[in-house]
Amino acid sequence: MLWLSLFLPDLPLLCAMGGVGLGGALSGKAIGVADGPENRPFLRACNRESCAAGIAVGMGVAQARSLHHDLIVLPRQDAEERQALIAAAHLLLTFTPMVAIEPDGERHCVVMELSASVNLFGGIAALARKIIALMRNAENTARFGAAFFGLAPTPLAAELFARQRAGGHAAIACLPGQPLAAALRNVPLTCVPWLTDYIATLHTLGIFHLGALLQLPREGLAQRFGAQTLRTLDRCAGHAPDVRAPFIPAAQFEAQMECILPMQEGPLLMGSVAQLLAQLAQWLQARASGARAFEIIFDHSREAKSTYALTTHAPMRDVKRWSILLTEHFQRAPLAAPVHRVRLRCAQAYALGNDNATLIPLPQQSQATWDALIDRLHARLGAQAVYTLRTAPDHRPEHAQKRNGQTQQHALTPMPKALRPTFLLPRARALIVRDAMPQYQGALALLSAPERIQSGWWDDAPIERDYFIARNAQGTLCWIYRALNEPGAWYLHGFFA
Amino acid sequence: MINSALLNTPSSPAPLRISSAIPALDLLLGAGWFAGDLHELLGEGIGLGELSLLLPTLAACVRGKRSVALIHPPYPPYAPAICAAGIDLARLIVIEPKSTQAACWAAEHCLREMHEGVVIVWTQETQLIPDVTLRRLRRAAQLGNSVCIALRPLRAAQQSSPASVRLRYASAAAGITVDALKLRCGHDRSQSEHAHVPLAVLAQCTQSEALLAPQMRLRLQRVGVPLLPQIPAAQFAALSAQA
Repeated sequence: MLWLSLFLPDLPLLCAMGGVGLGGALSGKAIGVADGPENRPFLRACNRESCAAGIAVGMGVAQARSLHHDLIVLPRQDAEERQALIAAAHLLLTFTPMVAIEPDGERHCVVMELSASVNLFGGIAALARKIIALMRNAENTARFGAAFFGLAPTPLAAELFARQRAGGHAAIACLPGQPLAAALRNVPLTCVPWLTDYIATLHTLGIFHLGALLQLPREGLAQRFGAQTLRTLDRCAGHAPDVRAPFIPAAQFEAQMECILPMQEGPLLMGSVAQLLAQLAQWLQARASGARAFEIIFDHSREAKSTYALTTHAPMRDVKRWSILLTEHFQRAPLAAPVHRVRLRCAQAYALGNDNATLIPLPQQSQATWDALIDRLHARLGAQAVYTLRTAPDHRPEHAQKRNGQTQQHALTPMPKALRPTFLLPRARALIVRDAMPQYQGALALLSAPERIQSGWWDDAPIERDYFIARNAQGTLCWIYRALNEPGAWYLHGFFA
Repeated sequence: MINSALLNTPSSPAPLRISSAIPALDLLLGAGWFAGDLHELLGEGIGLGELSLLLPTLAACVRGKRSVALIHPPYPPYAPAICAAGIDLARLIVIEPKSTQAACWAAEHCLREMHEGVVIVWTQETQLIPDVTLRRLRRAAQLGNSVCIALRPLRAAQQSSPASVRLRYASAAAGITVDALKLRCGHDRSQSEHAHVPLAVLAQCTQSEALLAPQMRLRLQRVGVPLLPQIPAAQFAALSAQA
């Protein structure tokens, strides 16, 4: 087993500041995040400025205020921290199917089991480098803050190593084949999250490192600090099994983003939407699938909202293409009012059709670019304006074609080979009749023998018509018919353009 | 640097040709439509057989697994007729934008994205479209190496155009005549600048007329259907001669 842990200590601070949405205005000020009971709140996290004033995590809010008068205390955002951890798990699912979020939400730790992925990514070092590069790129640093990693045969030990690194100590990793006990020996007890309640006692006993603690007699340890602590230590050292439930991405995706100030459309709003789209893409990546349809809800105020449902021709997860489609749409139909909040909802993920790579690249257009073109035309011109044609097995001319969908082979009903016009009028147009002859921009001469179409008694649109090809003096070739149930009436139904 | 492909000179490399699959028209054009170029087809009225001139090109294009777009047609294209012309409907899209401007936008995108495709756009212009729009269409065709064929009203002939080929079509007795108003440089001047394309519809009509049995004629007359009396005698003679 090879566990890699990701520890995100800045998450409480980032989430609390994100809720206020004043990231810029708060820079250079001392900030703390309050947690715990309302009558005696304590600090869950604090930034560098407050640390410089002597404020430490775990301190009561009143005590901290006495140390620094201008301390800004923000409430903790549990739900957002959880969301961020899930987002990190989505990212890490690219590397291994076994990712677990620490069940204890306070710990801000995600662990993943890598032994099955090592060969695929070309060794432990290459894989770890890839993961570290991903989590420390600009975008993810802005979202998750500093990221620390630990590598060990047990998930708890990996977490301890990551915390030790975050605490400013030297990095330790325990690769397969190396003794875990030796690596654990020098972990300071301040880095062990499940011992925080006993830390003062242990320090008075003269125990500062995990190695010393593990050498104490087990009975005494259990008596003093509880059987639970002993079990956790066993799991950490690999003496007891540590079973983790794998994280499974939700079946539906929902995310939202508060806007700092009400925004009309523009690059700022598109920026927020792009962030949501990136999250959607990560969720889809974790599920190894694509989205065919999702909706974006813009909340203008408490009541008013506008929704845009984006549907694409084929499932995909391409943020750039989604952005293009959205831009096209908003150029056509701008938003009515400023937006306070943007939400994105995707109800279903679809399997992504993977194209085979070709040995010799052909100049022909691939299915993907064709789909992209159609999506773009839909977004700009509206779904009604762009369509494909297909034939339908019906003798009535107006029912012999349908829009969109696949043309099926009609083996059982061979359709007539008679001539059909290239343009069919959506509704037949009544023609003026002069001397028993129909007129269309002049007298029409009938060029063909009649083709009788008598059909449709089974539904409510029966027809009884004699169709002719006719031509006027200008040379316009028309498809006209005589309705048998209306003697003397002639209609224009199409053109042989 | 000036891109030599931009210059409409005979020295530029021979462009890819897409046959119109109509011998008379191919002779007029040299060897067919120019890939990566704008063509104009000018004429008055709908239903003279102008789309029939282009359907064989579309069929050939679709057979080569390339795509085809019909943009801003005056009436909805009819699937059975297009299918009968040998066009696989899966590779054809119809776009019905609300304005000429939107039609040109859509045409530009299709030209650029459909590699070596054919885009037919009915401009349906009430005001002649500006030169710059036509230039954009030509540029888009160049980028995608696609064929753009714009069907424009006859009065557009007075306007200068960046299209390298401008053809005028008009109805004729047994088909449609095509005159070249402008041809691409390097065209063989000795060739005729006039083509007569017989229409399959008319050919089939005269055939069916010839085959129409006398009894059938009688029956039709009895039910009150007049038969071909309105075609002038000279024209009818020409028709029969063609058949």
